[in-house]
Amino acid sequence: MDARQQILDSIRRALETPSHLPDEAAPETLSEAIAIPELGLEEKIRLFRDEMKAVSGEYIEAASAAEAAEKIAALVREAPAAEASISSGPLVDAVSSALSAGGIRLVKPETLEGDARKNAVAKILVGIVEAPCAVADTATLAIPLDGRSMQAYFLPEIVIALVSAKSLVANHFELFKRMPPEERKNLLLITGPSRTADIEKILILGAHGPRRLVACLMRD
Amino acid sequence: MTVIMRVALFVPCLSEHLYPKAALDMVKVLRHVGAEIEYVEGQTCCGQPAFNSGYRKDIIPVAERFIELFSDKDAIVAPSGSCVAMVRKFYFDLDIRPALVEARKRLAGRIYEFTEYLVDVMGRDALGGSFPHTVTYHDSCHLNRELGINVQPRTLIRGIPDIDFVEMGMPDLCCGFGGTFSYKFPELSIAMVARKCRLIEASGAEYCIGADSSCLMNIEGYLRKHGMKAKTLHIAELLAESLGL
Amino acid sequence: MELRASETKQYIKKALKDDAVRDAVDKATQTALAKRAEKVAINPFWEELRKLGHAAKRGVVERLDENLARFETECRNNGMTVHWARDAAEARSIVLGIARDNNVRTVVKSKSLTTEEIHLNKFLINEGIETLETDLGEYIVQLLDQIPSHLTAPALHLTRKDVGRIFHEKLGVEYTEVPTELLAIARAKLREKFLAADMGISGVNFGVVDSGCCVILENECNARLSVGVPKIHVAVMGIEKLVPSFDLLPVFLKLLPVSATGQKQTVYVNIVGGPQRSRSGEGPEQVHVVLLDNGRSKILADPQLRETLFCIRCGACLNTCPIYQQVGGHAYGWVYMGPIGATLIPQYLGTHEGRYAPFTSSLCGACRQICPMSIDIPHHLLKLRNRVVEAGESMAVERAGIAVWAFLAKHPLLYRLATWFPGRFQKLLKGSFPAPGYSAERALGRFDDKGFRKRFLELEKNSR
Ligand code: SF4
Repeated sequence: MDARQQILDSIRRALETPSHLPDEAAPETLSEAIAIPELGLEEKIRLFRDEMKAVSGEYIEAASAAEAAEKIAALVREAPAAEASISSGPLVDAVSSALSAGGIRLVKPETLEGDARKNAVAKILVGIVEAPCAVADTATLAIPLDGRSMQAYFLPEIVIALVSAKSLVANHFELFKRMPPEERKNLLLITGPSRTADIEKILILGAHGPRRLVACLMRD
Repeated sequence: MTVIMRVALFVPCLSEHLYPKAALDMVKVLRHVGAEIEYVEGQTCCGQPAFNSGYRKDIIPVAERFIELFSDKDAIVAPSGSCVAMVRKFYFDLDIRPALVEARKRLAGRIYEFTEYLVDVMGRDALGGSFPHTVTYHDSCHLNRELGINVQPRTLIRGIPDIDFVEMGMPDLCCGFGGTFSYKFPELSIAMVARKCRLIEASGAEYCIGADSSCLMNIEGYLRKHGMKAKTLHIAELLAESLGL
Repeated sequence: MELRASETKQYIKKALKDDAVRDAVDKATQTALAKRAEKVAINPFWEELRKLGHAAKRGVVERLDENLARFETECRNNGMTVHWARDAAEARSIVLGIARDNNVRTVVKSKSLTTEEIHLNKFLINEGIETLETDLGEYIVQLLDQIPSHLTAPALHLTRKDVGRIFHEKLGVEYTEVPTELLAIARAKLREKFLAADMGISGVNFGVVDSGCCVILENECNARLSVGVPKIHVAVMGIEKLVPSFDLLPVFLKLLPVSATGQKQTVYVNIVGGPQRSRSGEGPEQVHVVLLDNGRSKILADPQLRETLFCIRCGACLNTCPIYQQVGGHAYGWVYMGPIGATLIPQYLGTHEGRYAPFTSSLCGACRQICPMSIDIPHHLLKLRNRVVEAGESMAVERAGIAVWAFLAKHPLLYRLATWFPGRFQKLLKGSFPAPGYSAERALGRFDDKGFRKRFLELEKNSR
């Protein structure tokens, strides 16, 4: 008999005896815990900002693409860097020309193939990316793997992520409810810069991924 | 309205043979608050040590005897959370005679730990009296986590007007007794009780109050051997003492 | 270093003498507990979430056959390859097969207890495939040739000085005990490997049944780099790791990180639902899921103990356990340690090898109280103790003693007689009876010469 059949058979045999576990409430009756709170835009923004700081992320705001580009350019120069890898999407597209005009050399991973791509992105200090959606409750950026290159999200040491205020959702329950089923199947959730506490529980930012994560909230 | 409470005593092994004073003081306190006390002849052990060691078959007849002996009583009270937990919870893990299944259920609903009975059933919390000392309280694990009794003993302690009650650090940390655990893994058990005793000492209390003689024996044994100044006291002893019974 | 669960008594004694380990473990567990408590306190729905998690897991486990079949179908529809492994050897050879088929020479691994369970690393290395742990803690213990001493913090038993020495000896770098410098060393070594690896191996925290995807939680980005860069991703997953749907996934995404490290959310949640390379030109072109039984279906057969399969491996029960705090993870002698390990050891390894494990507990219940899945660990330990006894694995003297006791307990007169003696003899003794082991550091209580019953009857007589 093949392994699959044998495992499923022994599971079926095992399950012939019903569980001896205490009775418990059915999940539906506990709906409060999984409810999606009604939050206004400002509340969501405030929550997102506070949580971002709580997870050692950084937070900036911009009222327009021009302002965002200016602030991002300043961050890149302070890094210090003259170039950045840049992902694709409407938010980064809106700032990219202003960034280039500001003298920052932008590398689009999509223009490179295979090994060349990862080696190039890994060498660049800063990545400029966007999150199509973000969770206010935990300051989590949600990025569906929809064919875009993901490398600028986790290979650089400093990642600057554009987030549209409109895309904020209250919590994870809302996130998964809103997201098309095909998109949530391949998804990266990012909450703060990478870290480890494996040595004596001392928190160190920047483990194998970014050391800094800057969220730039676009208000319009 | 005065309701006469008839209480059948269950006195666990350790109280019977090593710490009878705690059980006697429990009797005095219960009488003081108006309960009528009955001692059920022929009682031995609830079977917990053997059950905890894995010997379920051996304890079935012991449990059956216990059920027969006590199940027609209105209220059974014991000065030990772990023995009450045994009867109330773990008897249900035993394949007893079908004829006793109903009685087991009845018994489970009528057996009480001493402080639980005083506070929850008799509705007594502040008994008054006097005990002008600094005390702390150790949560025995079965009492606290199997039976959920942790407020009642504290209520009774605080009910003594002139007592000075301080919480130790981690009052619900296991003292390391664990019944047969203490001789199966003695070094480990000793390391645990040492930690508990350090917390008691750090609290500055003169007395460590508990509601289970087994934990108290363990704690007392270590305190004494290491010349630590705190003393142990069963909560029944504390109440009897404070009331001058 | 090969550990054995049957040697746990020796390990415990040794661990108790090792103050450095004890201090490290104590400090680390207290830190984790405090962080967790902080997050639990601000979540008004914590208890509800626990109930939801338990109910969801129960639903999955009680129809595990259907759920696995559905999960498999959904995974295949998503373009993943699903393999079934009855035991460790089968799982190892499946992974090796995938590696051989694709000429894999180097593997990067993200932390996975399931792969520890099947000893995958050593096996692949012996087959000539370079296999590197990439989680910092795992990387350290791998250099030491140890197994993790904690479910979520593998190197919890080591100090920064230890790590400094290990890096100095094994990697030939200059000694440092500055944590950031130590991390920088590991990061630099591993970065190259991530970029060059042919295959990434991961575990799975949750398999989402209705969508056919694997969810992997982490903080270091090493899992992201392991599953998102190499051309092949192999996810090894115990068959119990399923959760029903995306609707309920957030419940687990809340329960696990808070319980494990006191984080509201781990830095990365990788949701893998199929190969990406054809769409994005990067990441895996093959994703394999290896479904591992290795004793789980046997655990399922017990209507009570099947609850131990609800474990989401958060490690909270270890942190809160007064025994784990004293002895650390290696004392248990297996890859699953602490209270939950004590239930799993005899179930996976049998009642002979695992005959001591269920007794390495004072049954204090702190584990159940903290467990996000509310697993009734002490109750399960009691049942497993019984299983050990039934299998004839308890000591003969103990068996005989219990038989005598049970006989006496049924005969109150004899019982009274037998318990009368110690009281009499006690009178002759100044202290209390010596009890081997027990009384080394503490006195046993003293037997009363009369006993309660007699004293009670006297009291009655006097008051009348
Ligand atoms: S048993 Fe519970 S507390 Fe322990 S690791 Fe598993 S889920 Fe966490």
